[in-house]
Amino acid sequence: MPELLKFEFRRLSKSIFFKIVGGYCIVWPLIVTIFYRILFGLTMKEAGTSFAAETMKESEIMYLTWMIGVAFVNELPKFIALFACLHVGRDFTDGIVRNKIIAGHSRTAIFFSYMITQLSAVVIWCLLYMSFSWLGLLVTGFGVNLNGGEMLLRYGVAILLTLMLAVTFVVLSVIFRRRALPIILSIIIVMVMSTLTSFAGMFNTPSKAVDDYLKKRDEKYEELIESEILTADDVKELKKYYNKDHYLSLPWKICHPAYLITTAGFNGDYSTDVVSALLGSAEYEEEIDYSVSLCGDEFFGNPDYSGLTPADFKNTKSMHMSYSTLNLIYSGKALAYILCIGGSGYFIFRKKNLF
Amino acid sequence: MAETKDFVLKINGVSKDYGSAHVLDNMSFTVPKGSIFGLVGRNGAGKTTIMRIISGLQKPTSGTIEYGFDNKKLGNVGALVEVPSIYSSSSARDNLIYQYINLGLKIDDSVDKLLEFVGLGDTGKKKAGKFSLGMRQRLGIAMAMAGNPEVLILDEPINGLDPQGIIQIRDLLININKEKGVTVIISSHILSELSKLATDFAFVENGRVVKEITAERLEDAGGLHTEFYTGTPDKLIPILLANGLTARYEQETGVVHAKGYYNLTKIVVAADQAGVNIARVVTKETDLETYFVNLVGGESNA
Repeated sequence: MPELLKFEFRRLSKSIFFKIVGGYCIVWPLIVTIFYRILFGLTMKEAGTSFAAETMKESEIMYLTWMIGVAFVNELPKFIALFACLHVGRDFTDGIVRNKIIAGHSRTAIFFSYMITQLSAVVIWCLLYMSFSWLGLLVTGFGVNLNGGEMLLRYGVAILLTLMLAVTFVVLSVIFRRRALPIILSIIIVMVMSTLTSFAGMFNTPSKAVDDYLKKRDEKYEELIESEILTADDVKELKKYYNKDHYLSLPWKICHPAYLITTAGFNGDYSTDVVSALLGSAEYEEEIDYSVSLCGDEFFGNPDYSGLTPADFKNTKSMHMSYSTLNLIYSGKALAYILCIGGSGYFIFRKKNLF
Repeated sequence: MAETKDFVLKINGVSKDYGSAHVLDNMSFTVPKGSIFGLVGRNGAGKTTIMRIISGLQKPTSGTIEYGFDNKKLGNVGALVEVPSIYSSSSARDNLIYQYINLGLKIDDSVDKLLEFVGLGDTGKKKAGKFSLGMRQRLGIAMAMAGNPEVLILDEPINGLDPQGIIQIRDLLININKEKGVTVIISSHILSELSKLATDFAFVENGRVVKEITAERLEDAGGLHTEFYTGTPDKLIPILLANGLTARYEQETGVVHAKGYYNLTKIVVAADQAGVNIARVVTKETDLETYFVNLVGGESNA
């Protein structure tokens, strides 16, 4: 095993692709921070005020630190897919893996040497991306706020999710003899995941939260009838329209199970949303409050006329999901996938005649 | 003290099935230590499969392989099976360095010496992908040779090479065997070349070894056979023996049978001086190919 690790790390150090992606992880976050610097400057000029980073709220700086740094979770998978398939696949197309078997290395050692070096490469890229996003934020005057180090845990979850994809790509690379098929499959996986993550987070509301919302709303309706603000008929109509299916519609019924069993809800749950940052409504939250979406926004008010606000659900457990719990859930899912996918790949690699 | 064995490999009843296809059927043979062991057989006879099994690339369905050395030690088996396994985008030296790392060897001047040994010392930074087939084969052999293996397994190493390439590989293999004492197992379609190299042969047919024979005995069984027609056999036989031939007289036909290669002029001059009258000479040559065809029947297609 030490020989194989030395072998693979030497290959890694000589890989041009690895260096190019490493360069991208340095340059791209710097460009993004400069872009935000310019963009925020333009917005402030239009508003007739001069922009100064120190006028930003701490939560906004935290959000910016998080959002720009964690972008690797969406930026890197395509590169990881290509790198894993080309780098590992080369050992199969050039037949080098046979040299390793003939030399006397076990298939277990070969499999894990590929896995360890590929995952190391991914961690290096992620760390480079994060570090240089922070450097960019410092250089452009935004500043960096890691929420007293708590944010590092969320970054850890993001790295774990990226590693989960990397494991998938490595497994695809080692169970096929040729390079083309794993590349095609990996790119398809990247595209599917990218599409899923763009909307899966919208379906994160738990069924229990809606039940609790409806229960409290019905109590509120009784009060409104008693105070003659609404009639019984009005309430009947409102209940008919704003029923559970209104909140948890068909798309939710289809997508929520996918949200639960996959990690595709990460972007939504962890607010990696660029738009909200630009609109100035983004904040680095301590928890997800499902009542915010159920009660409607501040501008239009609550559409079901109940007048309920998130404050009414402050003590309703089902309405709140802390990020410490969410970190555990996503880490657990990622580790489970790593073990399942990696384990299956290892089993196939050991049994199948691939050389 | 470790037991010293006179073989490097003993194949005991190895079978290999791919679904319903029986590629190897209870194959058994022994590879003597220090030999150049030629595997001869038609396409699909099972030569490559047994080589893949010996080198660890495949597992047998049944049967065992006994090694006459510590086969768990990294690099004790070197192999070039089917095509050379080399990074086409790296130089010969870099490829060899990778193999050294693979085997846990110290990277020192032995890398360059090995490149020199296989005749690739002057390739510099040229990428292996731009090498000729012969150069690639030699690099493949160098990589298989890294770490001084106990046994070197070569599957069709001269396939597709031009005559000069064949000679280079042949000389290289003889050097490896003689100078470094490495046992070589080799298969080749070019039986004339194999017969110039191998010290032992196993003839493979339908996944079984049908005959194991040393080159010496093969030569006895085959080689050049000459019939001398003479009225004075008792005078001719000492002349033939003096020229390194084996000879016997067949009373029924009155013919002297001789085996081995000779210089005809020398025999004729010596016979004339001894007053021997040779009426007729008939020669029959049995080479490896003829022997193989006689053994397995049909076209050789080895």
